[in-house]
Amino acid sequence: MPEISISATNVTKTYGEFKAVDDLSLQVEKGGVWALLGPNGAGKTTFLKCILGLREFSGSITIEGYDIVKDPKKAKMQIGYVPQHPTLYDELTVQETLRYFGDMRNVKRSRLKELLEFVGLELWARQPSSALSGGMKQRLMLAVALLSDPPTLLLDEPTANLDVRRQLEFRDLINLLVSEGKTVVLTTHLLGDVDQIAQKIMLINKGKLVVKSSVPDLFRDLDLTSQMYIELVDPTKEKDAIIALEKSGANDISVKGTWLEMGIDPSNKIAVLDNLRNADCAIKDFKIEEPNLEDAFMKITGEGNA
Amino acid sequence: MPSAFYMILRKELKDSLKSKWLVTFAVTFFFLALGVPYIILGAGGLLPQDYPGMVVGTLITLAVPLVPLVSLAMSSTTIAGERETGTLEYLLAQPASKMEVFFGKYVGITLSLTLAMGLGYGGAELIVYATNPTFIVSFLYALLYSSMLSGASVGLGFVISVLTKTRAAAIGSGLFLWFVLVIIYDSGFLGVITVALNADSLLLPLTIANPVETTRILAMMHMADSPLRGELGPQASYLLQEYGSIVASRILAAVLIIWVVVPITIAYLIFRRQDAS
Repeated sequence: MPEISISATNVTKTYGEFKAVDDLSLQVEKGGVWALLGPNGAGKTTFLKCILGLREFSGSITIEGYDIVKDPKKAKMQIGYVPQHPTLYDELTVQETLRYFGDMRNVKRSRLKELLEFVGLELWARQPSSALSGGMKQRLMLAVALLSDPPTLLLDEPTANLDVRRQLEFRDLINLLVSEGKTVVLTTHLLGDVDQIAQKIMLINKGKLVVKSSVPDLFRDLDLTSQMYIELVDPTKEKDAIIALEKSGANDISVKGTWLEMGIDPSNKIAVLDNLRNADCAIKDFKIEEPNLEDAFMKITGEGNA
Repeated sequence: MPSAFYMILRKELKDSLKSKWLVTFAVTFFFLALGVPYIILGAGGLLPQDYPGMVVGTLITLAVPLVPLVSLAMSSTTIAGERETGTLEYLLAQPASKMEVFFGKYVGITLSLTLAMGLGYGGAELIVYATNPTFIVSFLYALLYSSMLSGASVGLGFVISVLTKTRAAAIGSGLFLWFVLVIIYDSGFLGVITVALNADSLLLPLTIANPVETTRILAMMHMADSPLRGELGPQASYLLQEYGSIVASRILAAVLIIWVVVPITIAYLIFRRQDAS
Protein backbone atom coordinates (compact mmCIF):
# COMPACT_ATOMS: atom_id res chain seq x y z
CA MET A 1 0.00 0.00 0.00
CA PRO A 2 1.55 3.36 -1.03
CA GLU A 3 2.32 5.95 1.63
CA ILE A 4 0.04 8.99 1.55
CA SER A 5 1.27 12.57 1.50
CA ILE A 6 -2.05 14.44 1.28
CA SER A 7 -5.46 12.99 1.95
CA ALA A 8 -8.67 14.95 1.37
CA THR A 9 -12.04 13.53 2.36
CA ASN A 10 -15.36 15.06 1.31
CA VAL A 11 -13.94 18.57 1.12
CA THR A 12 -16.55 21.22 0.34
CA LYS A 13 -15.95 24.97 0.16
CA THR A 14 -18.85 27.28 -0.62
CA TYR A 15 -19.06 31.01 -1.34
CA GLY A 16 -22.73 31.81 -0.72
CA GLU A 17 -24.62 29.39 -2.97
CA PHE A 18 -21.59 28.65 -5.16
CA LYS A 19 -19.68 25.46 -4.45
CA ALA A 20 -16.06 26.15 -5.36
CA VAL A 21 -15.03 22.70 -4.10
CA ASP A 22 -17.77 20.07 -4.10
CA ASP A 23 -17.41 17.00 -1.90
CA LEU A 24 -13.90 16.38 -3.21
CA SER A 25 -11.96 13.35 -2.03
CA LEU A 26 -8.49 12.39 -3.21
CA GLN A 27 -5.19 11.03 -2.03
CA VAL A 28 -1.74 12.10 -3.15
CA GLU A 29 0.75 9.30 -2.79
CA LYS A 30 4.28 10.15 -1.73
CA GLY A 31 6.90 11.02 -4.32
CA GLY A 32 6.93 12.60 -7.78
CA VAL A 33 5.27 15.65 -9.24
CA TRP A 34 1.48 15.87 -9.22
CA ALA A 35 -0.24 18.46 -11.39
CA LEU A 36 -3.59 19.82 -10.24
CA LEU A 37 -5.36 20.90 -13.41
CA GLY A 38 -8.68 22.44 -14.28
CA PRO A 39 -10.33 25.28 -16.18
CA ASN A 40 -10.51 28.76 -14.69
CA GLY A 41 -12.87 28.70 -11.71
CA ALA A 42 -12.71 24.90 -11.44
CA GLY A 43 -11.68 25.16 -7.80
CA LYS A 44 -8.03 24.08 -8.00
CA THR A 45 -6.55 27.15 -6.26
CA THR A 46 -9.34 27.11 -3.67
CA PHE A 47 -8.60 23.45 -3.00
CA LEU A 48 -4.88 24.19 -2.71
CA LYS A 49 -5.67 26.89 -0.14
CA CYS A 50 -7.92 24.49 1.77
CA ILE A 51 -4.93 22.09 1.97
CA LEU A 52 -2.91 24.96 3.51
CA GLY A 53 -5.69 25.83 5.96
CA LEU A 54 -6.16 29.24 4.35
CA ARG A 55 -9.85 28.62 3.66
CA GLU A 56 -12.61 27.48 5.99
CA PHE A 57 -14.11 24.26 4.60
CA SER A 58 -16.13 21.22 5.57
CA GLY A 59 -14.62 17.73 5.34
CA SER A 60 -11.11 16.83 6.36
CA ILE A 61 -7.59 17.19 4.99
CA THR A 62 -4.49 15.55 6.40
CA ILE A 63 -0.87 16.21 5.46
CA GLU A 64 1.51 13.40 6.35
CA GLY A 65 -1.18 12.23 8.76
CA TYR A 66 -1.68 15.60 10.50
CA ASP A 67 -5.11 17.21 10.25
CA ILE A 68 -4.85 20.77 8.90
CA VAL A 69 -7.78 21.96 11.07
CA LYS A 70 -7.13 20.04 14.28
CA ASP A 71 -3.32 20.14 14.21
CA PRO A 72 -2.48 23.03 11.86
CA LYS A 73 1.06 23.74 13.07
CA LYS A 74 2.29 20.18 12.70
CA ALA A 75 0.48 19.85 9.37
CA LYS A 76 2.04 23.08 8.04
CA MET A 77 5.50 21.94 9.16
CA GLN A 78 5.11 19.06 6.68
CA ILE A 79 4.45 21.37 3.77
CA GLY A 80 6.20 24.18 1.92
CA TYR A 81 4.18 26.64 -0.15
CA VAL A 82 5.15 28.80 -3.11
CA PRO A 83 2.33 31.16 -4.17
CA GLN A 84 1.75 32.26 -7.74
CA HIS A 85 2.63 35.90 -7.14
CA PRO A 86 5.63 37.04 -5.07
CA THR A 87 4.29 37.97 -1.63
CA LEU A 88 7.41 38.90 0.27
CA TYR A 89 8.02 41.72 2.73
CA ASP A 90 9.71 44.36 0.60
CA GLU A 91 11.50 45.92 3.58
CA LEU A 92 13.23 42.67 4.57
CA THR A 93 16.46 41.57 2.91
CA VAL A 94 16.80 38.10 1.44
CA GLN A 95 18.66 36.97 4.57
CA GLU A 96 16.13 38.58 6.94
CA THR A 97 13.26 36.96 5.04
CA LEU A 98 14.78 33.52 5.49
CA ARG A 99 15.60 34.27 9.14
CA TYR A 100 12.05 35.51 9.89
CA PHE A 101 10.30 32.48 8.42
CA GLY A 102 13.12 30.19 9.56
CA ASP A 103 12.65 31.22 13.20
CA MET A 104 8.97 30.26 12.91
CA ARG A 105 10.10 26.79 11.84
CA ASN A 106 12.95 26.59 14.37
CA VAL A 107 15.54 26.30 11.62
CA LYS A 108 19.28 26.53 12.33
CA ARG A 109 21.24 29.44 10.79
CA SER A 110 23.46 27.03 8.83
CA ARG A 111 20.36 25.80 6.99
CA LEU A 112 19.70 29.34 5.71
CA LYS A 113 23.14 29.47 4.10
CA GLU A 114 22.59 26.08 2.49
CA LEU A 115 19.29 27.21 1.01
CA LEU A 116 20.71 30.50 -0.27
CA GLU A 117 23.29 28.48 -2.17
CA PHE A 118 20.71 25.96 -3.37
CA VAL A 119 18.53 28.66 -4.97
CA GLY A 120 21.56 30.68 -6.15
CA LEU A 121 20.87 33.82 -4.12
CA GLU A 122 23.95 33.92 -1.88
CA LEU A 123 25.23 37.09 -3.59
CA TRP A 124 21.86 38.78 -2.99
CA ALA A 125 21.63 37.93 0.71
CA ARG A 126 21.87 41.55 1.89
CA GLN A 127 19.63 43.01 -0.78
CA PRO A 128 16.00 43.88 0.01
CA SER A 129 13.60 41.44 -1.59
CA SER A 130 12.05 44.36 -3.50
CA ALA A 131 15.31 44.57 -5.50
CA LEU A 132 14.98 41.00 -6.81
CA SER A 133 13.66 40.04 -10.24
CA GLY A 134 10.50 37.92 -10.56
CA GLY A 135 12.52 34.75 -11.01
CA MET A 136 14.70 35.51 -7.99
CA LYS A 137 11.65 36.18 -5.83
CA GLN A 138 10.23 32.83 -6.96
CA ARG A 139 13.49 31.14 -5.93
CA LEU A 140 13.52 32.95 -2.58
CA MET A 141 9.99 31.71 -1.91
CA LEU A 142 11.11 28.21 -2.84
CA ALA A 143 13.91 28.60 -0.28
CA VAL A 144 11.34 29.68 2.34
CA ALA A 145 9.21 26.66 1.42
CA LEU A 146 12.20 24.38 1.96
CA LEU A 147 13.28 25.85 5.31
CA SER A 148 12.14 22.98 7.51
CA ASP A 149 12.92 20.44 4.78
CA PRO A 150 9.24 19.48 4.46
CA PRO A 151 8.40 16.27 2.62
CA THR A 152 5.70 17.94 0.51
CA LEU A 153 5.71 21.13 -1.58
CA LEU A 154 2.66 23.00 -2.90
CA LEU A 155 3.38 25.27 -5.85
CA ASP A 156 0.66 27.52 -7.26
CA GLU A 157 1.32 28.21 -10.96
CA PRO A 158 5.08 28.15 -10.31
CA THR A 159 6.22 29.03 -13.84
CA ALA A 160 3.39 31.33 -14.90
CA ASN A 161 5.35 34.56 -14.37
CA LEU A 162 8.76 33.34 -15.50
CA ASP A 163 10.50 33.68 -18.86
CA VAL A 164 11.52 30.52 -20.71
CA ARG A 165 15.06 30.36 -19.26
CA ARG A 166 13.78 30.81 -15.69
CA GLN A 167 11.06 28.21 -16.31
CA LEU A 168 13.72 25.68 -17.31
CA GLU A 169 15.85 26.56 -14.26
CA PHE A 170 12.86 26.24 -11.96
CA ARG A 171 11.94 22.92 -13.54
CA ASP A 172 15.48 21.65 -12.90
CA LEU A 173 15.19 22.66 -9.24
CA ILE A 174 11.89 20.78 -8.94
CA ASN A 175 13.36 17.68 -10.58
CA LEU A 176 16.27 17.83 -8.15
CA LEU A 177 13.89 18.01 -5.19
CA VAL A 178 11.82 15.10 -6.50
CA SER A 179 14.99 13.06 -6.91
CA GLU A 180 15.58 13.66 -3.18
CA GLY A 181 12.22 12.05 -2.44
CA LYS A 182 9.95 15.09 -2.09
CA THR A 183 6.33 15.15 -3.20
CA VAL A 184 5.49 18.18 -5.32
CA VAL A 185 1.90 19.23 -6.01
CA LEU A 186 1.52 22.09 -8.47
CA THR A 187 -1.33 23.87 -10.17
CA THR A 188 -0.86 25.10 -13.69
CA HIS A 189 -2.90 26.28 -16.60
CA LEU A 190 -0.02 25.67 -19.05
CA LEU A 191 -1.07 22.20 -20.23
CA GLY A 192 1.79 22.00 -22.72
CA ASP A 193 4.28 21.91 -19.84
CA VAL A 194 2.51 19.43 -17.63
CA ASP A 195 3.64 16.17 -19.18
CA GLN A 196 7.22 17.46 -19.08
CA ILE A 197 7.02 18.26 -15.37
CA ALA A 198 4.41 15.97 -13.81
CA GLN A 199 4.21 12.24 -13.55
CA LYS A 200 0.61 12.29 -12.32
CA ILE A 201 -2.31 14.61 -12.95
CA MET A 202 -5.46 15.39 -11.00
CA LEU A 203 -8.12 17.12 -13.07
CA ILE A 204 -10.71 19.17 -11.23
CA ASN A 205 -13.82 20.53 -12.89
CA LYS A 206 -16.69 22.38 -11.20
CA GLY A 207 -15.16 21.63 -7.81
CA LYS A 208 -15.08 17.87 -8.34
CA LEU A 209 -12.23 15.49 -9.07
CA VAL A 210 -12.73 14.24 -12.62
CA VAL A 211 -9.54 12.31 -13.27
CA LYS A 212 -6.53 11.17 -11.26
CA SER A 213 -4.05 9.33 -13.41
CA SER A 214 -0.61 9.22 -14.99
CA VAL A 215 -0.40 11.03 -18.33
CA PRO A 216 0.09 7.87 -20.50
CA ASP A 217 -2.72 6.07 -18.65
CA LEU A 218 -4.99 9.06 -19.19
CA PHE A 219 -4.37 9.04 -22.95
CA ARG A 220 -5.00 5.32 -23.08
CA ASP A 221 -8.15 5.52 -20.97
CA LEU A 222 -9.50 8.32 -23.14
CA ASP A 223 -8.55 6.42 -26.27
CA LEU A 224 -6.48 9.34 -27.51
CA THR A 225 -4.36 8.33 -30.51
CA SER A 226 -1.26 9.75 -32.15
CA GLN A 227 -1.84 11.04 -35.68
CA MET A 228 0.70 9.63 -38.15
CA TYR A 229 1.34 10.94 -41.68
CA ILE A 230 3.31 8.84 -44.18
CA GLU A 231 4.50 9.66 -47.70
CA LEU A 232 5.56 6.64 -49.82
CA VAL A 233 8.49 6.59 -52.21
CA ASP A 234 6.26 4.76 -54.73
CA PRO A 235 2.65 6.08 -54.62
CA THR A 236 1.41 3.04 -56.58
CA LYS A 237 2.04 0.91 -53.46
CA GLU A 238 -0.68 2.82 -51.60
CA LYS A 239 -3.09 -0.17 -51.48
CA ASP A 240 -0.42 -2.53 -50.04
CA ALA A 241 0.52 0.13 -47.53
CA ILE A 242 -3.09 0.53 -46.31
CA ILE A 243 -3.40 -3.25 -45.82
CA ALA A 244 -0.14 -3.28 -43.82
CA LEU A 245 -1.24 -0.30 -41.77
CA GLU A 246 -4.60 -1.93 -40.93
CA LYS A 247 -2.73 -5.03 -39.79
CA SER A 248 -0.62 -2.77 -37.50
CA GLY A 249 -3.73 -1.49 -35.76
CA ALA A 250 -3.89 1.91 -37.51
CA ASN A 251 -7.39 3.31 -37.83
CA ASP A 252 -9.22 6.06 -39.70
CA ILE A 253 -6.78 5.74 -42.59
CA SER A 254 -7.29 8.34 -45.30
CA VAL A 255 -5.39 9.62 -48.32
CA LYS A 256 -4.62 13.34 -48.53
CA GLY A 257 -2.67 14.15 -51.69
CA THR A 258 0.56 12.18 -51.54
CA TRP A 259 0.17 11.51 -47.81
CA LEU A 260 -1.53 8.73 -45.88
CA GLU A 261 -3.09 9.92 -42.60
CA MET A 262 -4.07 7.61 -39.76
CA GLY A 263 -4.61 7.33 -36.02
CA ILE A 264 -2.34 4.94 -34.12
CA ASP A 265 -1.75 3.87 -30.55
CA PRO A 266 1.07 6.07 -29.19
CA SER A 267 2.99 2.93 -28.14
CA ASN A 268 2.64 1.33 -31.59
CA LYS A 269 4.62 3.71 -33.80
CA ILE A 270 7.62 1.49 -34.43
CA ALA A 271 5.44 -1.53 -35.23
CA VAL A 272 3.62 0.50 -37.89
CA LEU A 273 6.85 1.52 -39.58
CA ASP A 274 8.22 -2.07 -39.38
CA ASN A 275 5.06 -3.48 -41.00
CA LEU A 276 5.32 -1.01 -43.89
CA ARG A 277 8.94 -1.98 -44.50
CA ASN A 278 8.05 -5.70 -44.39
CA ALA A 279 5.32 -5.04 -46.98
CA ASP A 280 8.01 -3.52 -49.22
CA CYS A 281 6.48 -0.04 -48.98
CA ALA A 282 9.48 2.29 -48.78
CA ILE A 283 8.86 5.48 -46.80
CA LYS A 284 9.86 8.84 -48.28
CA ASP A 285 8.85 10.94 -45.24
CA PHE A 286 6.70 10.73 -42.12
CA LYS A 287 5.33 12.99 -39.36
CA ILE A 288 3.77 12.20 -35.98
CA GLU A 289 1.47 14.40 -33.91
CA GLU A 290 1.37 13.14 -30.33
CA PRO A 291 -1.83 13.48 -28.29
CA ASN A 292 -1.61 16.24 -25.71
CA LEU A 293 -3.32 17.24 -22.53
CA GLU A 294 -5.36 19.88 -24.34
CA ASP A 295 -7.00 17.06 -26.32
CA ALA A 296 -7.58 15.08 -23.12
CA PHE A 297 -8.89 18.13 -21.33
CA MET A 298 -11.30 18.96 -24.16
CA LYS A 299 -12.52 15.39 -24.26
CA ILE A 300 -13.18 15.28 -20.52
CA THR A 301 -14.65 18.69 -19.90
CA GLY A 302 -15.78 19.82 -23.31
CA GLU A 303 -14.30 23.20 -22.37
CA GLY A 304 -11.53 25.32 -23.76
CA ASN A 305 -8.80 26.68 -21.54
CA ALA A 306 -7.32 25.13 -18.45
CA MET B 1 9.32 25.21 18.88
CA PRO B 2 9.50 29.00 19.26
CA SER B 3 6.11 30.62 19.02
CA ALA B 4 5.31 32.54 15.84
CA PHE B 5 3.73 35.11 18.18
CA TYR B 6 7.15 36.37 19.31
CA MET B 7 8.53 36.43 15.75
CA ILE B 8 5.61 38.54 14.56
CA LEU B 9 5.73 40.79 17.65
CA ARG B 10 9.47 41.31 17.15
CA LYS B 11 8.99 42.16 13.47
CA GLU B 12 6.28 44.72 14.30
CA LEU B 13 8.62 46.40 16.80
CA LYS B 14 11.55 46.34 14.38
CA ASP B 15 9.40 47.76 11.57
CA SER B 16 8.30 50.59 13.86
CA LEU B 17 11.90 51.43 14.76
CA LYS B 18 13.04 51.22 11.14
CA SER B 19 10.25 53.48 9.92
CA LYS B 20 11.42 56.30 12.26
CA TRP B 21 7.84 57.18 13.16
CA LEU B 22 8.41 55.91 16.70
CA VAL B 23 11.17 58.46 17.29
CA THR B 24 9.05 61.25 15.77
CA PHE B 25 6.13 60.26 17.95
CA ALA B 26 8.34 60.09 21.08
CA VAL B 27 9.81 63.53 20.40
CA THR B 28 6.31 64.92 19.85
CA PHE B 29 5.24 63.51 23.20
CA PHE B 30 8.32 64.87 24.91
CA PHE B 31 7.51 68.42 23.84
CA LEU B 32 3.83 67.84 24.46
CA ALA B 33 4.60 66.69 28.01
CA LEU B 34 7.00 69.47 28.80
CA GLY B 35 5.66 72.28 26.72
CA VAL B 36 7.81 74.45 24.48
CA PRO B 37 7.63 77.37 26.96
CA TYR B 38 9.69 75.25 29.39
CA ILE B 39 12.71 75.46 27.10
CA ILE B 40 12.27 79.17 26.39
CA LEU B 41 11.65 80.08 30.03
CA GLY B 42 14.40 77.72 31.21
CA ALA B 43 16.92 79.22 28.79
CA GLY B 44 16.06 82.69 30.08
CA GLY B 45 16.25 81.61 33.73
CA LEU B 46 12.61 82.59 34.18
CA LEU B 47 11.19 79.14 34.90
CA PRO B 48 8.64 79.22 37.74
CA GLN B 49 9.04 76.54 40.44
CA ASP B 50 5.58 75.09 39.79
CA TYR B 51 5.85 75.09 35.99
CA PRO B 52 5.45 71.28 35.63
CA GLY B 53 2.25 71.44 37.62
CA MET B 54 1.00 74.21 35.39
CA VAL B 55 1.52 72.28 32.13
CA VAL B 56 0.38 68.90 33.38
CA GLY B 57 -3.24 70.04 33.20
CA THR B 58 -2.96 70.90 29.55
CA LEU B 59 -0.95 67.79 28.70
CA ILE B 60 -3.82 65.33 28.46
CA THR B 61 -5.95 67.80 26.51
CA LEU B 62 -3.20 67.95 23.91
CA ALA B 63 -2.41 64.22 23.97
CA VAL B 64 -5.98 62.96 23.77
CA PRO B 65 -6.57 63.84 20.08
CA LEU B 66 -3.07 62.76 19.02
CA VAL B 67 -3.04 59.29 20.61
CA PRO B 68 -6.07 57.86 18.74
CA LEU B 69 -4.94 59.52 15.51
CA VAL B 70 -1.58 57.74 15.48
CA SER B 71 -3.00 54.51 16.95
CA LEU B 72 -5.82 54.25 14.42
CA ALA B 73 -3.53 55.09 11.50
CA MET B 74 -1.06 52.39 12.60
CA SER B 75 -3.52 49.64 13.42
CA SER B 76 -6.21 50.03 10.76
CA THR B 77 -3.76 49.28 7.96
CA THR B 78 -1.97 46.34 9.53
CA ILE B 79 -4.21 43.39 8.59
CA ALA B 80 -5.84 45.08 5.56
CA GLY B 81 -2.46 46.10 4.14
CA GLU B 82 -1.04 42.60 4.45
CA ARG B 83 -4.23 41.12 3.04
CA GLU B 84 -3.96 43.43 0.03
CA THR B 85 -0.33 42.54 -0.71
CA GLY B 86 -0.88 38.81 -0.09
CA THR B 87 1.65 38.60 2.75
CA LEU B 88 -1.10 37.75 5.25
CA GLU B 89 -1.99 34.62 3.32
CA TYR B 90 1.70 33.75 2.98
CA LEU B 91 2.20 34.25 6.71
CA LEU B 92 -0.78 32.06 7.56
CA ALA B 93 0.54 29.34 5.25
CA GLN B 94 3.52 29.08 7.64
CA PRO B 95 3.31 27.23 10.97
CA ALA B 96 1.61 30.23 12.61
CA SER B 97 -1.93 30.17 13.99
CA LYS B 98 -4.41 32.97 13.38
CA MET B 99 -4.25 33.81 17.08
CA GLU B 100 -0.46 34.17 16.98
CA VAL B 101 -0.54 36.33 13.85
CA PHE B 102 -3.34 38.55 15.19
CA PHE B 103 -2.06 39.07 18.72
CA GLY B 104 1.57 39.23 17.61
CA LYS B 105 0.60 42.25 15.55
CA TYR B 106 -1.67 43.73 18.23
CA VAL B 107 0.87 43.49 21.02
CA GLY B 108 3.67 44.64 18.70
CA ILE B 109 1.83 47.80 17.65
CA THR B 110 0.55 48.57 21.15
CA LEU B 111 4.04 48.10 22.60
CA SER B 112 5.55 50.37 19.92
CA LEU B 113 3.06 53.10 20.74
CA THR B 114 3.49 52.69 24.48
CA LEU B 115 7.27 52.77 24.02
CA ALA B 116 7.00 56.01 22.05
CA MET B 117 4.79 57.58 24.70
CA GLY B 118 6.98 56.20 27.48
CA LEU B 119 10.13 57.67 25.94
CA GLY B 120 8.41 61.01 25.37
CA TYR B 121 6.73 61.25 28.75
CA GLY B 122 9.67 59.52 30.47
CA GLY B 123 12.19 62.05 29.19
CA ALA B 124 9.92 64.87 30.27
CA GLU B 125 9.34 63.21 33.64
CA LEU B 126 13.08 63.13 34.39
CA ILE B 127 13.25 66.89 33.88
CA VAL B 128 10.05 67.44 35.86
CA TYR B 129 11.37 65.30 38.70
CA ALA B 130 14.60 67.29 38.80
CA THR B 131 12.63 70.56 38.90
CA ASN B 132 9.76 69.65 41.19
CA PRO B 133 8.99 66.04 42.21
CA THR B 134 5.47 66.90 43.38
CA PHE B 135 3.85 66.45 39.97
CA ILE B 136 5.53 63.17 38.96
CA VAL B 137 2.40 61.17 39.84
CA SER B 138 0.25 63.30 37.54
CA PHE B 139 2.68 62.60 34.71
CA LEU B 140 2.53 58.87 35.42
CA TYR B 141 -1.25 58.97 35.27
CA ALA B 142 -1.04 60.81 31.97
CA LEU B 143 1.19 58.03 30.60
CA LEU B 144 -1.09 55.30 31.94
CA TYR B 145 -4.27 56.80 30.49
CA SER B 146 -2.62 57.63 27.18
CA SER B 147 -1.45 53.99 26.92
CA MET B 148 -4.94 52.71 27.70
CA LEU B 149 -6.46 55.05 25.14
CA SER B 150 -3.87 53.83 22.68
CA GLY B 151 -4.82 50.21 23.44
CA ALA B 152 -8.51 50.99 22.90
CA SER B 153 -7.78 52.86 19.66
CA VAL B 154 -5.57 50.05 18.37
CA GLY B 155 -8.45 47.64 19.10
CA LEU B 156 -10.87 49.80 17.11
CA GLY B 157 -8.27 50.05 14.34
CA PHE B 158 -8.06 46.25 14.22
CA VAL B 159 -11.86 46.01 13.84
CA ILE B 160 -11.55 48.29 10.80
CA SER B 161 -8.56 46.35 9.53
CA VAL B 162 -10.28 42.96 9.57
CA LEU B 163 -13.39 44.39 7.88
CA THR B 164 -11.61 46.18 5.02
CA LYS B 165 -9.78 44.67 2.08
CA THR B 166 -7.42 47.44 1.05
CA ARG B 167 -4.95 49.72 2.83
CA ALA B 168 -6.62 52.81 1.35
CA ALA B 169 -10.09 51.81 2.59
CA ALA B 170 -8.64 50.98 6.01
CA ILE B 171 -6.80 54.27 6.51
CA GLY B 172 -9.82 56.21 5.21
CA SER B 173 -12.12 54.44 7.66
CA GLY B 174 -9.60 54.92 10.48
CA LEU B 175 -9.34 58.65 9.89
CA PHE B 176 -13.12 58.94 9.61
CA LEU B 177 -13.52 57.16 12.96
CA TRP B 178 -10.94 59.51 14.52
CA PHE B 179 -12.85 62.49 13.12
CA VAL B 180 -16.11 61.17 14.65
CA LEU B 181 -14.59 60.28 18.04
CA VAL B 182 -12.50 63.40 18.50
CA ILE B 183 -14.06 66.23 16.50
CA ILE B 184 -17.73 65.49 15.82
CA TYR B 185 -18.46 63.81 19.14
CA ASP B 186 -17.05 66.53 21.36
CA SER B 187 -17.94 69.74 19.57
CA GLY B 188 -21.04 68.54 17.73
CA PHE B 189 -22.83 65.68 19.35
CA LEU B 190 -22.16 66.31 23.05
CA GLY B 191 -22.69 70.03 22.58
CA VAL B 192 -26.16 69.53 21.11
CA ILE B 193 -27.20 67.08 23.82
CA THR B 194 -25.99 69.13 26.77
CA VAL B 195 -26.96 72.57 25.59
CA ALA B 196 -30.06 72.08 23.44
CA LEU B 197 -31.67 69.20 25.34
CA ASN B 198 -30.25 70.02 28.76
CA ALA B 199 -30.24 66.27 29.41
CA ASP B 200 -27.61 65.84 32.15
CA SER B 201 -28.67 62.24 32.80
CA LEU B 202 -27.29 61.32 29.37
CA LEU B 203 -23.84 62.71 30.14
CA LEU B 204 -22.47 59.54 31.73
CA PRO B 205 -23.65 57.14 29.00
CA LEU B 206 -22.50 59.55 26.30
CA THR B 207 -19.10 59.91 27.92
CA ILE B 208 -18.47 56.21 28.34
CA ALA B 209 -19.71 55.52 24.80
CA ASN B 210 -16.53 57.16 23.51
CA PRO B 211 -13.07 56.04 24.71
CA VAL B 212 -11.58 59.45 23.91
CA GLU B 213 -14.12 61.23 26.12
CA THR B 214 -13.73 58.58 28.82
CA THR B 215 -9.95 59.12 28.88
CA ARG B 216 -10.20 62.89 28.79
CA ILE B 217 -12.62 63.08 31.71
CA LEU B 218 -10.76 60.40 33.66
CA ALA B 219 -7.48 62.29 33.26
CA MET B 220 -9.12 65.54 34.31
CA MET B 221 -10.22 63.90 37.56
CA HIS B 222 -6.53 63.46 38.42
CA MET B 223 -5.54 66.94 37.35
CA ALA B 224 -7.91 68.70 39.73
CA ASP B 225 -5.03 70.51 41.44
CA SER B 226 -3.45 71.95 38.32
CA PRO B 227 -3.79 75.74 38.01
CA LEU B 228 -4.02 75.37 34.24
CA ARG B 229 -6.69 72.67 34.33
CA GLY B 230 -9.29 75.21 33.34
CA GLU B 231 -13.03 74.65 33.49
CA LEU B 232 -14.07 71.09 34.21
CA GLY B 233 -16.82 71.21 31.60
CA PRO B 234 -20.32 69.79 31.95
CA GLN B 235 -19.35 66.09 31.86
CA ALA B 236 -16.66 66.19 34.54
CA SER B 237 -18.66 68.57 36.73
CA TYR B 238 -21.73 66.35 36.51
CA LEU B 239 -19.75 63.18 37.33
CA LEU B 240 -17.98 64.82 40.27
CA GLN B 241 -21.25 66.11 41.59
CA GLU B 242 -23.16 62.83 41.14
CA TYR B 243 -20.53 60.25 42.13
CA GLY B 244 -17.66 62.08 43.73
CA SER B 245 -14.08 62.00 42.50
CA ILE B 246 -13.12 58.45 43.60
CA VAL B 247 -16.23 56.59 42.39
CA ALA B 248 -16.36 58.53 39.12
CA SER B 249 -12.67 57.74 38.48
CA ARG B 250 -13.25 54.06 39.16
CA ILE B 251 -16.26 53.92 36.85
CA LEU B 252 -14.34 55.63 34.07
CA ALA B 253 -11.21 53.49 34.59
CA ALA B 254 -13.33 50.31 34.42
CA VAL B 255 -15.01 51.56 31.26
CA LEU B 256 -11.64 52.34 29.71
CA ILE B 257 -10.45 48.80 30.45
CA ILE B 258 -13.60 47.52 28.72
CA TRP B 259 -12.75 49.76 25.76
CA VAL B 260 -9.32 48.13 25.61
CA VAL B 261 -10.63 44.56 25.82
CA VAL B 262 -13.90 44.52 23.84
CA PRO B 263 -12.89 45.92 20.41
CA ILE B 264 -9.81 43.72 20.11
CA THR B 265 -11.87 40.68 21.14
CA ILE B 266 -14.50 41.48 18.51
CA ALA B 267 -11.79 42.03 15.89
CA TYR B 268 -10.20 38.66 16.70
CA LEU B 269 -13.53 36.80 16.58
CA ILE B 270 -14.18 38.25 13.11
CA PHE B 271 -10.62 37.51 11.96
CA ARG B 272 -10.78 33.93 13.23
CA ARG B 273 -13.79 33.14 11.05
CA GLN B 274 -12.45 34.85 7.95
CA ASP B 275 -10.62 33.28 5.04
CA ALA B 276 -7.03 34.47 4.82
CA SER B 277 -7.67 36.63 1.76
